[in-house]
Amino acid sequence: MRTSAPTSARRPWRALIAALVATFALGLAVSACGGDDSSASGDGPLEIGVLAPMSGSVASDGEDMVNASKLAIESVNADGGIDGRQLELNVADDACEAQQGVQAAEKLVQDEVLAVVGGFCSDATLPAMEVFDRSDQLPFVVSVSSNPDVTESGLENIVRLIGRDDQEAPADVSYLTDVVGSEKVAIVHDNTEFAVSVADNMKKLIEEEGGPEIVYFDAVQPGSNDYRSVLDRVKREGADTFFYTGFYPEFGPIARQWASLGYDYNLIGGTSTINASVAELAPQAVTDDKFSIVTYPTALLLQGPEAKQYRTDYKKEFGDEPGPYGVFQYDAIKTLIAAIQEDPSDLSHSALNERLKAVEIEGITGAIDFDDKGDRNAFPYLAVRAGDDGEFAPVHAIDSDGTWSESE
Amino acid sequence: MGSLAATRELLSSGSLKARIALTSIIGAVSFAVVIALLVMGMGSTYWMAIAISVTTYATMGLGLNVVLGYAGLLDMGYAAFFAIGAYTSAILTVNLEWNYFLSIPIAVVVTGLAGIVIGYPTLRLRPDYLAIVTIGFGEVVRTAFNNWQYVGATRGLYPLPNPELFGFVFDDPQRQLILAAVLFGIVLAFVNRLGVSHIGRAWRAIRDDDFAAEVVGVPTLRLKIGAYVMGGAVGAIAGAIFASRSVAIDPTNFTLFVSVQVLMVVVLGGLGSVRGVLLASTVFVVLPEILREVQDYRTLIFSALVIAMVKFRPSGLIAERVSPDAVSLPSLEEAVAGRDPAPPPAAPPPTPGSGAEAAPRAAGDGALLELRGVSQRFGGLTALDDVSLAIRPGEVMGLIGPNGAGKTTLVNAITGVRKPSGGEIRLRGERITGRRPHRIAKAGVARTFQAIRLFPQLSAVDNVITGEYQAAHLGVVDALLRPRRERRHQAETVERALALLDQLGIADAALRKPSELSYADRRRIEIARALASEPSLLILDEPAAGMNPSEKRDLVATLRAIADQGIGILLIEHDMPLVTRISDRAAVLDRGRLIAFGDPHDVLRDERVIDAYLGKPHEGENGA
Amino acid sequence: MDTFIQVLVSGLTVGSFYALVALGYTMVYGIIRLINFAHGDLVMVAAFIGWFVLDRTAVGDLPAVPQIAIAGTIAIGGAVLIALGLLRFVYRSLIDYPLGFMIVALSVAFCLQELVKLIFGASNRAYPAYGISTESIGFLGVTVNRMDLVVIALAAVLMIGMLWFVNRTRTGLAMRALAVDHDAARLMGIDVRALIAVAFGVGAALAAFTGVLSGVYYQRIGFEMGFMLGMKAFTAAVVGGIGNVGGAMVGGLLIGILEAAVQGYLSSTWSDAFIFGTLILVLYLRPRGLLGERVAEST
Repeated sequence: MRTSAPTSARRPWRALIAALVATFALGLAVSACGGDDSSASGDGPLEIGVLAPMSGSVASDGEDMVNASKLAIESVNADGGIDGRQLELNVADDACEAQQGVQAAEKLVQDEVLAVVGGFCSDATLPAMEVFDRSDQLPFVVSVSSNPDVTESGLENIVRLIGRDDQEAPADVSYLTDVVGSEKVAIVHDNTEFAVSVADNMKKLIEEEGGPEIVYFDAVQPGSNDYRSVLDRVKREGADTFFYTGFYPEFGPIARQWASLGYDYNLIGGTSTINASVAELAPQAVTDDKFSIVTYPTALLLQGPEAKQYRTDYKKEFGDEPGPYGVFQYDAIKTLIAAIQEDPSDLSHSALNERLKAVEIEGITGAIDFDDKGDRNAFPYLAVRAGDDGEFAPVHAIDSDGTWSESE
Repeated sequence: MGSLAATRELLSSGSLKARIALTSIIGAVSFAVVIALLVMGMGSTYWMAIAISVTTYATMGLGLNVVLGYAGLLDMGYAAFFAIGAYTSAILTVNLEWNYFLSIPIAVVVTGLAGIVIGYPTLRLRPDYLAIVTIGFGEVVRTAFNNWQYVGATRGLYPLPNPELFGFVFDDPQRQLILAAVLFGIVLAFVNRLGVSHIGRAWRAIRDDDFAAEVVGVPTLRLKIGAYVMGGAVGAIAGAIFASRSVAIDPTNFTLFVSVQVLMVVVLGGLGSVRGVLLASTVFVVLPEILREVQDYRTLIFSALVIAMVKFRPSGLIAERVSPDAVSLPSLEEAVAGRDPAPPPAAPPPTPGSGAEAAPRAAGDGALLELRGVSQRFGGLTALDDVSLAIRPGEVMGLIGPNGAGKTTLVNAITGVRKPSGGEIRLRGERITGRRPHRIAKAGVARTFQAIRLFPQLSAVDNVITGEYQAAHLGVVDALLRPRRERRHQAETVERALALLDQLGIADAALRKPSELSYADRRRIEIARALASEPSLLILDEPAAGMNPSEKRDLVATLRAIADQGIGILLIEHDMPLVTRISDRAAVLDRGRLIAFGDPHDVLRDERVIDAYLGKPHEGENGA
Repeated sequence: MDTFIQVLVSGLTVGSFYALVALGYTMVYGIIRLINFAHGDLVMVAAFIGWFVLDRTAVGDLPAVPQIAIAGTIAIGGAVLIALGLLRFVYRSLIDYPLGFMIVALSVAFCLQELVKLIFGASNRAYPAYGISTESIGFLGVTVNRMDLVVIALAAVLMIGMLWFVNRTRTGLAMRALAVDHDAARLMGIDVRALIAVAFGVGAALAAFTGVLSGVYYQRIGFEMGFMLGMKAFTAAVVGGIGNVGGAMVGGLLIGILEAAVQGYLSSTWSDAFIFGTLILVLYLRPRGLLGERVAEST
């Protein structure tokens, strides 16, 4: 087997060292040329760091988060900013990956942002948290990362907008028992961290406190197109409900094939299955009585006037429907703004951290207030189904003491 | 000799001394730590974080470089080693609460074992299949971790404790960077040692032409596994570096994409080039950071760069330093300087394989090579039919016959390239039928090829030295742990190789690559390489093809001198006068059968032989 | 028994897709003995081209069959152009440098993915819903999609066409000769370059057809759909016997059924691992594949 063409001129090691040093020097120069005024004091703009995955397979969600951030600061800036200071975004790409997450976090620290809002993949969020904590507890408003470890870590500079993985499971299980009346359930995930976590939590809960019998507990292969074998298997196991904890790209085809096969068990999706594409791909499935999705209140479902405004504004400015998680980023920025506005003259880390924990506002996603750990107090899950117009609408909702009841 | 001046020039460049220094652990670690200190001097934890990432990629790059750059194995699942190393370290520190520093050697051993388990069945495959299968193994390893509850399955392990040594905790970027630099330095030293050792040379031979390497006597399978395992061990250390600075570990850190990124680093840097890997990993991590705008396009840009690099500059950013390499050179200088300008008449001749007498020609008794009833069938075609003959030590036997008669097939059977369908082959009484080619070479059979198969990326002298691999009595341990013994031994092998080249009159070309030399000279290098393994039987497949009359005369003299030392020669040739001049006996094959045997002159006058060559009347002619 | 039929039907459908893609791999491999890692991503690119035509141009306003036909034709044209362009400007000079070829092909695969992501965005896209995708009919006591039968039938027609092409036309004969011995073929007056181009082109056309068909049938397309598909198709080609057109078909269907069977009877988690495991088993136990290799002997 042939190898490469003739070698070129040889370079001494000196050149290599020179190249390495030059690269770092260049980098230093470039970063030094960046803005150097700290946002915490002075009159310059207020720089908000945004930590989101801008590259990789969830790049579209990162984009959505950045768009939502832009919308969130727009109205404030239009009104003249806070105390005359405009809000600015500094976006750092964490690529949904640990090493890049650390680098992005360090970059934001170096740029001396006021606070950081974001966090989608826990892969990147957890290491970033450690960086921020080390940097004199830079405030970190976590918007989308639902890994319980984020707030279990005991760090003082964290508040989180989205519900935790282990908050969803109780809602799912109570939905199954109280609303669906399921006695034999098949719980299926997709081998990714979030879905497995929810599924495992559901299983544990059922074992400890009772619930439907789990007759099938397994995964599907994301990316494969044909789920009929699994759907058939679930029927064979005698389940009356198929509960899927994975993500919406798979749920659309699953729903479609479920409908075409005509099996009579229920099909329920977890919080990550909510997306317009599911209705698009499986129009017959989503209106079926036996179909529902237990979900966060996302942009699509929110009925309030602000939510509608958000959708309209988003569509106008960015040309596409908003993604499902952007609303949490929007509310996260709003949370930070509220904390800033309380006392614009003291924006030190410790002051902001204290005020963030104490924030109490109405967000698009519902009432926002935090417990000691930084999680939201009452997380309002919904169960939705599509109406004749093909749009998802809430059918049941959970209230603050965890009971389900019909909506509207 | 012209080579002296070239040698002096190369030696005077500081790079050589630097290269030798970097095979020393202290030297390499110092190098790495100095760079780390430079980075720390910039005072920014951001750049320290970047530097640690660079170190991780550079370490993995060095490891993949051993597998792909040195040995030429297209491993596309390298992240599996990274994963096994990182997880082993994490399991030990998190689940078993061992000290981090103890976990490193364990991680290396576990990964090495995994390399053997995966490599042994896989590395015999063709390169394209190897690529797919390694992807498969990468995915299987990741899936296994993804489903293993003990390591947290999809959630992974969190938090990973900071490394700690006697109360000194590595909990901030500064300390973690120094730790990473030290680990990297150690890896660098060992990789460099391998690169300049006899094993490194053998790997490059395998990479250039693994078939020829095997036949020449290099145990290719064993060395391929060795490359895979050592590359894997390096990956384990990269995993340990990752575990030292990460707060969490989960299977998504070890996807196919990671393997591809390391592949890109190695290809961009230059296969086999340590400096190239260092530069490429730096560029790979730093460029997207400096030019934040290109972050989104990172994969696209680097993929496009790889394509451009392979097409237009396949040697990579910094080309691999091809032989003569650092170890050969000082020995080369000593060897070259120690000789006087006149060709030494008493250059130590290669001795025939142990056990054979240095008997005068034609006086050898007892067969050296014995073929009994050797047959070879391919499906319905019989290529060899019941061939029996014997060659005595010190005898030159010509093997002639029309094209397609089966001469090369016979040679392939003897040298183990293809096990014969039937019959027996003995070398000095010992059965060698069906053994692997490198073991037959070790037993004392050497050959040249019809189309010259030299290693194109190795210099002439290094080509010859690969022939000595079997006789080297050196092992991996020497390459890794006894650099001085390596150097000394290499000095001896260089001496021997130069002597051989001398014997064949081409010592001038010692430092040149085959592509720069004439056909006849390449032929002679090939013969020298064959002689380097100290064979008792030398098989030459059309050595005179393409030579002019004066070159043929030299060849005859050379062969005579070789035979005089008691080495048996089996000579396939079409040049009949040459055959009659040099051969003691001749064997004629036609359509797989031995149709004549004996004195060359008689054989050539034999009617059956003439018929075979010329065919029956009115058929097409076929000539010598 | 129901499950068995279900598995069989699912398997044959998915397997038809694998078979069509495997055909492209095997034809090219038979001639140049190199894996074109980017082949699977051609399927993906064609699927997106088709989507663009259907979703973003006036073609989408036509009735179902014409619009699919037009989109398909454009996608095939685009894919063939891309494949030939790649051959001419990127691959050709690397054909005798296997290591380089494979690394480059892999990079091309990633470039295609990234370019599609750039142009069309990172989210999945949906083909228009054609009613026939979900219409089901009873078949042997099991509910089967009408579309399944259409897919299997279409694929079968194409495969028979390919068999005819390879075994009964002069070009096909020339390709088989080329697969056995380049030099001899050249000496017989066969234009090697042209034939390699034909192999690439036909392979690309098949891949494009598969891409559009996949979009119509599954409706969902995404930039990551090509790579794994390619790997599995390559496995199918090897299992059937690399270089062997009939083998690619048999291999594809077998792998499809294997996948469905593992998902139905065991666990989806391991279906990919099973496929790779099959590849490894075949390579060790019967490297020539089920129907035997058709490639030149190596030296």
